[in-house]
Amino acid sequence: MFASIYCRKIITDVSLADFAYAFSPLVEKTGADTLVLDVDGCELLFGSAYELANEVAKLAAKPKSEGGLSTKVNVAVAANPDAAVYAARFLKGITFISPGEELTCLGDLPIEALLSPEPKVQCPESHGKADREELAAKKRLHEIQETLDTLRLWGVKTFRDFAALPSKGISERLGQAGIKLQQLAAGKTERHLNLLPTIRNFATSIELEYPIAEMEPLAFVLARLLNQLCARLHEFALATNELRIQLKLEDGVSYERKLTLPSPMRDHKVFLKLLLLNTETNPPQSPVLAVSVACEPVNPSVLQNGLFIPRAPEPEKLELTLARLAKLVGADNIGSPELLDTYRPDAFRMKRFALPDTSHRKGFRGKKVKAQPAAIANQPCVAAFRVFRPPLRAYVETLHGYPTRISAPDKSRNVKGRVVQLAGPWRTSGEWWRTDGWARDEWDLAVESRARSTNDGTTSGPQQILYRVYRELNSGAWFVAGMYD
Amino acid sequence: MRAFLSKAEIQSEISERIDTAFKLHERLPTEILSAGIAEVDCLTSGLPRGAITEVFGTSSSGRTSVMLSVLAHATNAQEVCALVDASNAFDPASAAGARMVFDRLLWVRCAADGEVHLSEGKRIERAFKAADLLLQSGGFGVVALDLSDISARDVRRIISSWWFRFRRAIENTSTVLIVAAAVSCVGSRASQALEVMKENVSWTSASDTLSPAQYQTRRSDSVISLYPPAADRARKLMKTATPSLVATKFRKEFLLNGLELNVERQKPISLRPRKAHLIATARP
Repeated sequence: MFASIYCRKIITDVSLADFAYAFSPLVEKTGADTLVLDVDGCELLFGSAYELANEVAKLAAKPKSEGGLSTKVNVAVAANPDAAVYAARFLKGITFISPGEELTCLGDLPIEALLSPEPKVQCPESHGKADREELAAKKRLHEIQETLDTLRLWGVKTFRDFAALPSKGISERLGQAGIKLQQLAAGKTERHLNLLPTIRNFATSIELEYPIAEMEPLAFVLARLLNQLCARLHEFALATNELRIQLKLEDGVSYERKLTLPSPMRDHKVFLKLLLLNTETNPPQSPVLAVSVACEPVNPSVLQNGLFIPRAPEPEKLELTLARLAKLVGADNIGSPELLDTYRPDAFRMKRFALPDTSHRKGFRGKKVKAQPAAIANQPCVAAFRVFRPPLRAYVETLHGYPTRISAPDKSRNVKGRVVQLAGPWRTSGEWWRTDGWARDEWDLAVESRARSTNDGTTSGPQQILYRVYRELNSGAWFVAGMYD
Repeated sequence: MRAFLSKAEIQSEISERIDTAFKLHERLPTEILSAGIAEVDCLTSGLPRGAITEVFGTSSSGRTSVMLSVLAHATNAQEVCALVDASNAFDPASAAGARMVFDRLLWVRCAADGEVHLSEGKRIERAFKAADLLLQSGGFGVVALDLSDISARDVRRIISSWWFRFRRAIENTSTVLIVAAAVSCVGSRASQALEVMKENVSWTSASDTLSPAQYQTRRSDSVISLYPPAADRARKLMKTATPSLVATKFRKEFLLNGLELNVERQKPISLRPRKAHLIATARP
């Protein structure tokens, strides 16, 4: 069954659709002053269709502050939406049309009532189509007007007269448009409603009956809210790369956390684990009274793996792993290194690790870039350098400026011995205009450490270890920068 | 004597029917990853996927160079790699020289710059937990566990159950776990063990050109003695000599050119040659 609401005067400050949503989620906006609702299944809430119509009329008459429209409305209930629309527009008060009795109620309506514009839904995405729809509507009106002129010439004046004409004759003389108009007059059309797009709300909240002071019960509450959120995202085929959680605490403070993800996801288990890991690093200082979770919906990322591209970690698993690693070693100690554009030694920064996007890699002139493992296969092996962070303070014996013996008091690194070969000095300096500028003389030293006994009873012979040592020009202090390995 | 003859007769009898019964079979891994070094690939046929490869050696032996080459090759082949750095010793500059693609490298530093007094036991614990998380997550082409700066004593104390756990986590996957340490610690849990030794250090004197490909060992003519001959004779007559008066002779060179390395395959044992010689250049 369908219910149509017709406002006798135009309302601008209150949304008619919002008023209609109070009775049914399936609403069609037929015109600025007319709505059609699908009321099938509303008996449990409002009773019979007639009781529902009474309820609509009563609520509409109430002031706007109480959820009404402050005006009288016509309400009509029928088995098909078009009959309900005509009844609401042309019959005052509440009208109930039983199935099969459409002509009984609408039969006396003049055929000019068929000139009412067809229902069109204003979609916010269809701005470009508005002009085309308007032209089409004008064309249809013109055709209907011609049809009605013809009917008047035949002496047809009411819906009942029109419905009584034979369909075959209408089809031969007026075509399918005439048949459609006759079905409208007879109240025998069958169609679906052009529903208004539902409002997308991706936020959920809950107020707790008693304050929660521990993580475990809070995890249950978060799991429930995230489950609802992800179900809603799934319903609209969307994902999110930003989660916001807000906790209302007992001491009145609002605890907020924001989780930014490198790629859109909608797995509630992953979200829960990430939120818990994030919250554990900085837990709320007082019990929680209310929880709300919101997200920004985006289109999900399309990941297409190539046949010859190696498999990469799954984004959800990787994000969880990174969160766990951050908890283990600190968020500043994981990531991808990035060299800085400076001559300063050991200048780099850690940037957030994200899976490289290989699906749309294109090189010059749009050609796809392929991996070039052969390009480095012929390159010679590079001697690696191991950096001592921080540099070891060293005591160096020199003669005529050449280091002869070195000793760095550090338990973990046994830097001690005689210099047997050296290269340098190589002076490097920079950023003298800054307070942290550097100026040093660097040496590459081959240091021979003496033989020492190990715990398993063997004796390790003297070995030559290659170090990079530098002397700061400002202070004259010696440091061991690292080791070649 | 008769027993030997009978054994030989039995072998000859059986070998006629089943010729492969007494031949040594070397099981080749189904999937391998190139080490990025031609000499090591010739020696090992590559690093086996789904298994542990151990690279060990003393300080300045070249083990970090081998590990960096593997990571550089894997990242250039579009594989996502991870480096668990127990001592925060990774040098991005030398890795850039090895042509490593940093966008595909996840670097996990188990000791921050300010954590100077963090014990080795704590670093090992963090490193192993981090490696475990990475291996359980899956999807990485190479996971490198760098324990090079951990002392041999602490490395030997690592319980074997960790290695079994790692091996179980990566078997039937395409992940290569490469462990760099001072001594062999993985043992029988590793499918491949490489010992790296430094044979020689290459220096460049002033007259040499700076081309790494034109390396040749050259005896430097810049041996410096900081004491005149008279002082040497005087030193010999002294019964006790303080360290500061001991004659110091060292070679003064122009540049450190690189390292000459010997890589010896300790495991698996096979009939093929076990050693490889390569040159790691300090200036790519």
